[in-house]
Amino acid sequence: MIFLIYFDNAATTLMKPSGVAAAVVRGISSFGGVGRGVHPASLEAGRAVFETRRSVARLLGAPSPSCVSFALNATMALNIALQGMAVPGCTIVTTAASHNSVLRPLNRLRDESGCTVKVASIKPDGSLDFDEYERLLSEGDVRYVAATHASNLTGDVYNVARMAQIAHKYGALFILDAAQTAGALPLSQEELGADVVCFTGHKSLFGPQGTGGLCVMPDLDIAPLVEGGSGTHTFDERHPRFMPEALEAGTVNAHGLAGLAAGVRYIEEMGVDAIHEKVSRLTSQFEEGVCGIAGVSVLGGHGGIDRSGVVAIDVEGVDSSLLGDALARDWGICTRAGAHCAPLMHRALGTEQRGAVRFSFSCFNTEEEIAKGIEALKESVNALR
Amino acid sequence: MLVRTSTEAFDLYERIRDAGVPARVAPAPHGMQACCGTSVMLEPADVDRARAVIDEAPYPIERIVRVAGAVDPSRDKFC
Repeated sequence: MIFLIYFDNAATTLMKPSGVAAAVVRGISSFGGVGRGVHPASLEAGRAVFETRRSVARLLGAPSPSCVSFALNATMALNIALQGMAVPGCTIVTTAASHNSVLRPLNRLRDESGCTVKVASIKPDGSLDFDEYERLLSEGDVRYVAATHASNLTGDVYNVARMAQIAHKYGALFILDAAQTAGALPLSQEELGADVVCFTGHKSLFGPQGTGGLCVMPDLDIAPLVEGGSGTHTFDERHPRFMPEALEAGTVNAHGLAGLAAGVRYIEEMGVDAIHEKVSRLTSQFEEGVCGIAGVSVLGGHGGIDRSGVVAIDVEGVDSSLLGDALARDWGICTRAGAHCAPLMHRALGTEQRGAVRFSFSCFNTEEEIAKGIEALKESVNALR
Repeated sequence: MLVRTSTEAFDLYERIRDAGVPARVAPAPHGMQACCGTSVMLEPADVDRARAVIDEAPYPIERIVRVAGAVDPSRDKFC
């Protein structure tokens, strides 16, 4: 019998704290509409969503619960920020480490709104070219920078506090994609100086899929991506612009958000530092174990100021999809093979043609699982080469 | 007390409650369309006790209106 070993936590965490499922079940059994009426069932939902806002604000260092708007995931949150903060013809800076959730909305703004999109390079070791980044900003009139906190391919964590500082120095706003880091690394919006932090609930915050959002600094007015029912100000012709509901047209996923609050509670009880320390230990164990395997090379991972729990590997002469499939089929090991929605990063690292196999860990993984993963990789690579 | 969003209503309710002043979240009177539809209700006699919390809230209190006979303590069980 093959037991599942789950190393695809950078996509979605599978192992969740037990309170998450319980909170969702309780919500489905007791919630009315959030902000739609003030009867007991509605209040129950409203209080749960408010508690989630408060706990997310506390964990991510946002100034207040009112700064936290919920969305379906980081992609939607990023689309809200990227499109809502752009103006026709503006200039935008991003980095080659960006996920398609940043690149594709920006490319659309380039194609349909006359925006100029400039991309700061990632060096072959995975690090950001800060000289080029500052030069792009110094060329002037940049509306905002949209940057990822950590590469979803290599795990390199970038010095986003420095990036935000440089952006502000040249009058640009700073949007942080924290899809890979919220809940996994200590993160404070106020300390980093990020004007917007976009997060997803279903990765390291341990929430259900369909949860996520963005933390917006006070007084930053983002044009809503979606307008419609707000449950309030019914006779206004346009959607209200008061945060956080300004960016939440339609009923939010209160059932999922109740689960997200339970995930955040777990993180607060465990401590982000302790979680990061454990995942870092597992990541190092895995990297050290696979480095000696013939034909295997690790992509990046040491080009930032820190690292998330990701190890992406390239195997000389082996298509990543074959290796990923062999690991799943023969060993029950779940990884992510392919291009990881990070086209510019793969191009920068020279893995555009065969992709990579990404192993990503969570605090629920064990040293025994890591050892099994190393053994499985060794055997699979030998069989495929 | 009328605020702009239900998030602010829940926040204000908790601030007032934490200050030891009885209050509850309640529907805003229908005539008050400018607010969010959710309000925080407390006894008129307690407004002064909550004044410091109201003044320190990091958002504007849209209006404070008097509503006759609307407080039903039995509804507080869910608040």
